[in-house]
Amino acid sequence: MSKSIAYKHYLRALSHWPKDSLRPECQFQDVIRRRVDRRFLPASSSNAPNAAQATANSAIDEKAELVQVNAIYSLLENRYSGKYPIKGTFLKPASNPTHYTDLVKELEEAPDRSWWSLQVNKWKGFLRFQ
Amino acid sequence: MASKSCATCLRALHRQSRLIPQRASRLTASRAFTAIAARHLDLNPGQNAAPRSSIPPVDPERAEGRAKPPASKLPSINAAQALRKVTGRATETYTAYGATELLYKECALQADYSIPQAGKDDQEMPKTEAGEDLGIGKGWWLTETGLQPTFSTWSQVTMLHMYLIAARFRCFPTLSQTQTWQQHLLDHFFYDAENRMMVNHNMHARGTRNKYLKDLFIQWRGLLAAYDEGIYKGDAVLAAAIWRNVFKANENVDIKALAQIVSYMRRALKGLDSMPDETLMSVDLQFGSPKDEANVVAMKSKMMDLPFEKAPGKDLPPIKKA
Repeated sequence: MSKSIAYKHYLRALSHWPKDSLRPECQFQDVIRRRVDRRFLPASSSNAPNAAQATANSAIDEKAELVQVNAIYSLLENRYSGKYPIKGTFLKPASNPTHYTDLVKELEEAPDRSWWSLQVNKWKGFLRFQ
Repeated sequence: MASKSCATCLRALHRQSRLIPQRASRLTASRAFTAIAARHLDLNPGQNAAPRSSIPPVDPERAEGRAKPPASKLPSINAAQALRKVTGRATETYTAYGATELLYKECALQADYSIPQAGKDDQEMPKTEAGEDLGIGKGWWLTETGLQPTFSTWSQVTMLHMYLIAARFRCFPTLSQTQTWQQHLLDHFFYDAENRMMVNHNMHARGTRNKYLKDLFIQWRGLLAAYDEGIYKGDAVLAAAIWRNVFKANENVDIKALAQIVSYMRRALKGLDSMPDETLMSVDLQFGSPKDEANVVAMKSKMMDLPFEKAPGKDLPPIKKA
């Protein structure tokens, strides 16, 4: 394991990233983990002859990586929804107060639906009786 | 698309032309003939021809999005609002059509690009590594994020801004009003998208354009759900949604830029939320830019200072090598 501080920060930050059950093959934390492993771990494979340049490169990387990981932390701590809070009425819109709660419920149920209930839902959506 | 104006609409239009102050004599003349002119279809419309309808065309200079919105409202919107007092909600859809056109133009200019080689048969268009046509463009979205000036970038950034407006439309009092406004906004986008495909990318075959338009529609529906989920659940989920849609799940995404976009969206939603319906309907707004969020994102997080022993992260499972 790399001794880099930024790498440790990355591991910690990505472990707290919320898991997305609806899109299991396209997870942010997996892809960023892959990128970080590629950048930090094979330190031995980089060309050793120019040791000074290697340390200089890794110093630049370290600062840039700390900026990136700070951004991940800021997203995890909901800095922006705290700084720019929206009123409750936006999340209960006048034209359809349960819009967001219905959507989130639907997204939670969708991955676990059986084939039969998928067909039933498909036809329910197609034939909508007022 | 010939004019389908019924007698009621024609009467409404004539009444509308009487309500406008004198300065719009040019507009009055064109409006009086709109129903007739529309019957003679213009087979070779100009590059940014206004859609054929019985609604008065938007002033082309304003519609380009270069000029700042004038201090006084446009005569067509003034007239529409005066008309609404007389005819009630029957003209909602006509007001909506005009207003959403301006709102859409504001969305579309955020990541606008041009391809100088388009339309010239002898010049080859430059391509990105993925094979998309590459253009040139200015602005934060095209220079600071690592995104390139392509059709997909433009469409995703435009749809992001349209999403913000569509989410605000949901706060209208009735469902039918929401649906009218959202539908018109979407129609403007698809009309313009098809126009750009033809003009910038030489897609003269209707089948090819339709294929891409269908994909675009699926993307729109997907991002509606994804961004809604993000708004409800928190910044990380919203960031993941933006990463999947705008950055196409790119491994080398600049996470700082991603956080700036999240901050920008939150700020825009807060601004839209506190805006009364009248201001939105008279299109008295302009989008800012995510570059103003750089300072907020650069602030050091408290989690950086937490020692690793006290708050260790859960170790992620080993990545399956593809």
